[in-house]
Amino acid sequence: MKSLENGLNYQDLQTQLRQKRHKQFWTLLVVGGSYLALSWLLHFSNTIGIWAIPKSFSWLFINFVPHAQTMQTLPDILSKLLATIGLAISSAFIAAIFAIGLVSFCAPVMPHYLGVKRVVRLIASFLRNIPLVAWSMLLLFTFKQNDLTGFLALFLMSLGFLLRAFLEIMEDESSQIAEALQVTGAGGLVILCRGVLPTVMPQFVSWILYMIENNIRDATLVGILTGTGIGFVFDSYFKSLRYDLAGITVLCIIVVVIALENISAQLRRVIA
Amino acid sequence: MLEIKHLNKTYKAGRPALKDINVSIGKGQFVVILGPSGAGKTTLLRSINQLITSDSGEIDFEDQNLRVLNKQQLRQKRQRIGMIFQNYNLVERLTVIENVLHGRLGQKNLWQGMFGVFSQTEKQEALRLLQEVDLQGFELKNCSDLSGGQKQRVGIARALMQHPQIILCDEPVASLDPASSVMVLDLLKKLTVEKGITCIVNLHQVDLALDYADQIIGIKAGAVQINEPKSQVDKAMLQALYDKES
Amino acid sequence: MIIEPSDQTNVSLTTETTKPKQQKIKIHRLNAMKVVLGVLAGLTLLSFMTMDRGSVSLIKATSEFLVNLKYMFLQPKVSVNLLQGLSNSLLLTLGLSILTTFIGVFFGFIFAVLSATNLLDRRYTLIARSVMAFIRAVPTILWVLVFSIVCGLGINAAVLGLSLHSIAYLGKAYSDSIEALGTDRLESFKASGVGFWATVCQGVIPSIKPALISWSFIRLEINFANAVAIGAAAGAGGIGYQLFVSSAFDFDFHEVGTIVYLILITAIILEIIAVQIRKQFIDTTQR
Ligand SMILES: Nc1ncnc2c1ncn2[C@@H]1O[C@H](COP(=O)(O)OP(=O)(O)O)[C@@H](O)[C@H]1O
Ligand SMILES: [Mg+2]
Repeated sequence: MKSLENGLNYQDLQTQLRQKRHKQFWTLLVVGGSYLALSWLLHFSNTIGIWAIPKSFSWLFINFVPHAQTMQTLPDILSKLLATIGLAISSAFIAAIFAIGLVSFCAPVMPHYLGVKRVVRLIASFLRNIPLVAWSMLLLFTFKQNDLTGFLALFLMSLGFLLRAFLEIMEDESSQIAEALQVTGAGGLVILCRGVLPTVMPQFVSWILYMIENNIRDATLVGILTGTGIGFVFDSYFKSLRYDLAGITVLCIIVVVIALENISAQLRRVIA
Repeated sequence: MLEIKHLNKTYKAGRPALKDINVSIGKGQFVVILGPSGAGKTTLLRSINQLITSDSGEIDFEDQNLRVLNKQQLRQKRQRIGMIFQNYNLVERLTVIENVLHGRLGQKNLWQGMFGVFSQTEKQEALRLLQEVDLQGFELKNCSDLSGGQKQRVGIARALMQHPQIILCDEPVASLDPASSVMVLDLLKKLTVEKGITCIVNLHQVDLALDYADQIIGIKAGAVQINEPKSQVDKAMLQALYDKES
Repeated sequence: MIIEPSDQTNVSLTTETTKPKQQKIKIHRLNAMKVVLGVLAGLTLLSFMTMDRGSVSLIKATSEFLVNLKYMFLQPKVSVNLLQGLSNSLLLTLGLSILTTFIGVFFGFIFAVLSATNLLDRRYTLIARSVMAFIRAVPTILWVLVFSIVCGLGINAAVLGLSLHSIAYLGKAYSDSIEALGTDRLESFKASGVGFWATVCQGVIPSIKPALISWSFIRLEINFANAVAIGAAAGAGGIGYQLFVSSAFDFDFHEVGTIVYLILITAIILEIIAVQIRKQFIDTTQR
């Protein structure tokens, strides 16, 4: 009896393993096949690509190295860098204020919150998925080439991201606190300000910090497109073949991004 | 002081959770609601302050039927009914004293409420209440740094801040160790004796119920099975309450 | 959180000078979060004060901006020719993002294994980690520009730049998931003498499969947005380039509207797919 059972199990196991192997084989085939098909369709040459990586890095380390003259321009670069950091922070912060305002209407303690929530969700999806390029170009056309344009592009993008993140946090936060304040006879807005917002705020701040990090990177893109901030500095050096200066600019960006990443990781630990 | 008459409640999908509940509760009584899990204890307690809207019946408190009040009137009445929860439901990120002061939010106007503006006398009262629940020195701690028993005592202080006639307690000691449980229940008992506040407490520990209760209400499958002063309750009745068969 | 002495100094400062009866009772506490918010508010103000706003009139610019928005969203240009050309570019951009996600997933996983502290010694993980942090710190667009020097502007540089960033991003995300497994679960493999890559394939991959899939689709979303961006900023082709041309050279905001709608719809479909996939794995991905 027992051996029979074992025999059955053994066979089951065999078929199962075979099926699994079949599945793995086909998955690999499909993924590999579509990779090759895509490369071919896009005219991406894998051999050129593979060779380009060591070549580019060696080019990078030869040409991006600063020399004595480079240092004279450093203060100029640093001041633009500071302005860009300022843009990243202010756009994230102002976006957060707007996002908190909008999300507040989506707290379960507010009247009609289901309808409002749908609208806010729509706005968020809209803002976030419209490419940064479109915002940048559109703003550049009317606000012209200045920091304000960069600020507004980053602001709109941040607003979309923060709205979605804040909405999700609001949803996950249980309604227990709202209930506790409800029984004291408090109304919706009061419960929101005294109970709900203090509870979700640390998570919100964590997202604001993330948004600032992200904005620094995006600021480079926006800068190249709109001719502002550190992105413009890099672009103009790069295009005028001043690679030493372009290199030092990238170095500055790297230092700032890594520093920010570490600072916000520390801050998150303290806040949580 | 609190009269519940013919109260019925059926959740959207399911059997009736409360069936024709008739209970009368006097001032300063320590009332324990007992019953197997799923009997409807939570539903009954939350129906009293309208956290759950019941289907029919009356809940008479201070000469008014709570079930038919409008929003404004209900908020007014809710100020007179404190509640403490199994999971304390404090705003953990705020300080102990802020949480206690929250008991006053119902009396505040919109702006004072939103920005948490409290008067000197209110703050003094909060400090006094914290002393009463044996938490002096903890005012400025964050609630997240407290133990379960301490959190529940903050919850009690918050309820007291409302100057309530009744305090509703849904399994107030279910998440606590035995020593803290006794401390919390002692505190509630003291309130009934010294301040004449009525306490209605859901419990699942029969021995604790027998230690503290003045009146015992037994609920089974949504219907009241026991409704007696403690002296009238005997072992057989309690056994029948928890017996699966009958 | 610890109560710091500085928190309470405020209490008595005012009280000693005024009547002792009217002692002000403090109910709030200064905490790290409030400090962070305060600092950010200060920096925002500072940034606003020093910001170069140019000489445009804000009201005029805003109203013009709104008019252009109206052209874009309410009066997009619709013509068969245009849509045909655009859909080709859109497919190119979409293909670019899928291709680079494939590359990112494959090499990202290898980097993730090399940088997971519960699999390898810290000496090795530190190297992999530093390399990834370096790559992530450089914006994608800059990588594309650098590669474009060697292979020229175009699809090759775009693929390389996007892939490199994807690898570093996914490498970090995956390795966080691997580390969340802890050491105990992998120890049984080690104890029975299973080799390193066998442990990875039989022990690690099955356990973090949901996280792997969720992160990969999140990256696909990001790659699509990035592919649009580099198409515009580096002239790497695709719908991003079309967007750039029609907005920066042609100033045809009706056409921009059509392009933006196409991108928007694609992005939202990708987002819905990602959300659905995450939902499917929601209870297993929660750590
Ligand atoms: N929100 C709800 N929706 C539907 N049914 C509920 C809900 N809450 C409770 N019930 C049901 O009502 C009955 C009474 O529940 P409850 O009052 O929580 O019991 P107790 O507190 O005594 O354990 C149970 O059968 C429960 O399944
Ligand atoms: Mg219950």
